[in-house]
Amino acid sequence: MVKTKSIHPYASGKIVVPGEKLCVVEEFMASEGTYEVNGEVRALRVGVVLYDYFSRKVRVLYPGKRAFTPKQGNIIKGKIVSVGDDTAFVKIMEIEGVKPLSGFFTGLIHVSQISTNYIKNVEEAFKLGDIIRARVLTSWPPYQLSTKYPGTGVVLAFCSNCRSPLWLKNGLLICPECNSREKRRISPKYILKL
Amino acid sequence: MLIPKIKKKSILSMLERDLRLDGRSPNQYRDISVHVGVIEKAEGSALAKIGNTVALVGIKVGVGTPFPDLPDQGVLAVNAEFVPLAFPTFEPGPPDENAVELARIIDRSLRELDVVDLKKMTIIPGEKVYIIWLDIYVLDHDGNLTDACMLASMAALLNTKVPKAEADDRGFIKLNKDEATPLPVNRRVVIVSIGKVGGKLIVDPNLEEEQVLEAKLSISIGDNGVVAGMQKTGLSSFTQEEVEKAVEIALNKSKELFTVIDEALKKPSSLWEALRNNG
Amino acid sequence: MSSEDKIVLIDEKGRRIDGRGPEDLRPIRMEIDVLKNADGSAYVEQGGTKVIAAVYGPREVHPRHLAFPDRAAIRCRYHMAPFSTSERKSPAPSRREIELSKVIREALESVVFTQLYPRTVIDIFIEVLQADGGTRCAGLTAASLALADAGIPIRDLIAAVAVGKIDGVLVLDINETEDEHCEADMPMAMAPSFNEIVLLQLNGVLSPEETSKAIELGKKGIMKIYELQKETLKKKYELSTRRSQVVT
Repeated sequence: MVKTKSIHPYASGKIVVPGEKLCVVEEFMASEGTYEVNGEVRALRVGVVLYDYFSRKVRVLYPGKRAFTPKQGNIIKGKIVSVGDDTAFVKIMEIEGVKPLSGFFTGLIHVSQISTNYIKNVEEAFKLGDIIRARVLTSWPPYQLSTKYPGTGVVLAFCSNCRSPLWLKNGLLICPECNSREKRRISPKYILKL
Repeated sequence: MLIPKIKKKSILSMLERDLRLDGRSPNQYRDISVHVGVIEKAEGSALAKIGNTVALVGIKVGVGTPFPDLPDQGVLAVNAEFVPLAFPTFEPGPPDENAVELARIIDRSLRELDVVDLKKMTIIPGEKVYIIWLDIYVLDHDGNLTDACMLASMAALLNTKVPKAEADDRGFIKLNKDEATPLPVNRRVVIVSIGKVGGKLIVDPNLEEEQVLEAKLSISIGDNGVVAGMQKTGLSSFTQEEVEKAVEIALNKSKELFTVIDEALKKPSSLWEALRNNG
Repeated sequence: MSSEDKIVLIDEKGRRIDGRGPEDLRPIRMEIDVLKNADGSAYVEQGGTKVIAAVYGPREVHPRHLAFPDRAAIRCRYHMAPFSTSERKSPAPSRREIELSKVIREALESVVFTQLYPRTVIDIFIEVLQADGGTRCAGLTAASLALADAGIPIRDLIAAVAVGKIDGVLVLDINETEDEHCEADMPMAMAPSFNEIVLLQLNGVLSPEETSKAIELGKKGIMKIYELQKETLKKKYELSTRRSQVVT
């Protein structure tokens, strides 16, 4: 191993690979991107190592790709694929702020998680094919979702008659083709506004 | 990707100004490159890239019996595999309908123009002939697989060396790789695929565009300027005028593809060169 | 065995058929991130052997009953291209490919932190594009790079090499010709940071002493391949850190 001259024995900024020994647990505790085995801390991903002398933690940050699955607290975008009496199934297609998913995950929204207002059945809030923005409540499949949070709800809806995208005007969704009006649990981030 | 309908609107409005989402004009191909001789062990091989679409073709030459109805001809077998590493929804298993369709489109284009001189591929007429296995491997899928696979297939055929067939003292036929001759190729063929979206025609649709296409027409063009095959795919339709216009465009664009093949044949390449800096 | 099988695999000077000494590896080069669609990918060339590997996931399992409640499932397919061998190989998976897929999967599973992604699947696809001996080893080397490229948490990389015995001599990294005529062929793979052997097969006959020596020899080769793997990953990520800021 090459010895580099540095102020500290543990200099941050070096690129490490999985399995590479970073320190012993007495020096720095394992944190993000690292793991502990036999009293040693090692990297579990490729990345840049950061030794934090204040918190006494060592982290490995990822300059490249990273395997993402939805985690509690994430905001996702997805499509309503089925609507039951008290739950809607969502095909999760994107976790906001990270690279798009290569596949997709299934999530579900219970009627009690749609809105802070009382909603009797799911049909009132979502229809098949709607694109929604939702918050993830659990960290493994099937993911429980919620649209109670600010900014969540339907971001794009389609007309139940002619399937063309609906436009938002004064809190109502209007179909430009057949002039029908529809209701949804609308997100303030609705895409098409008049 | 998430919202094809919205995407379609923006694609259409850009096409009004003769622009595409990736900055191309309607009749423009993405960057094309062809590398030949990438699999040294195969008798012929080529890797073609159109944008981020990558197709690898390997050709193996074997000995077998001819078809009973064509006793004096060699056999050409075209097979396509959409290997699961190429795309999230490609699954392991036998070729699906898309893979079979693609293989058959390419097979027909090669057959109708007698691209490979199969009559010269007999060893003992009526008994033993050469079998040419053309295997297509899709490695990365970003739309327009047809053109990329045809391009790789054509370049691989032109790169193929046929080993000499020798009978040993017991009458078994063995192939001698040390004495190989170029595969007899009569002419060249390429496929130009033209998509239709909102009544507009676009050359070489990428994956994003393919998802909103109404229909697609893949036109095989021979180097003698003939139309050697067509396949319309997609749920919508073409009018006669549109087909005529598409053929005209395809004839024009085919010249570019032939030039790419010519350039590629000048120098053998390697997989290393072809795959590096691809991701 | 007929008389024509008597090719000289090792000459009196100890040179092998391709000019290598007994403990020499073939030239190796590797690259990661060679495919656009895959979450992670790698390409490895070892002599005439050319292997590409891709990783997809963690993603949802279909059909759902294949999922584990407490960890990710790993699926692995080792597959040879029809044009990769001397005689064309049928693309349908052979018994050999099915077996190798299993042992490769088990080797990889020993290093992946599957418990971090319950009820999901990680798919690993290995395609042999040209076979010239040691394809499962090159495949495993490539697959572990692809996992690292995808950012999937792993305990360690995996490096692999085949040790052979020809004319009574133990040799490293046998090629196809040597494989066809050797007395023993022992593919092995290790998690190098922990000295763990995660894949070991033996096809042929070795004495107990030779077995230990063969493993020693394999380790030497694996350490060299491991160094190359590290170098490949670091080089690529140095470039990408220079290009973009660090994202947590």
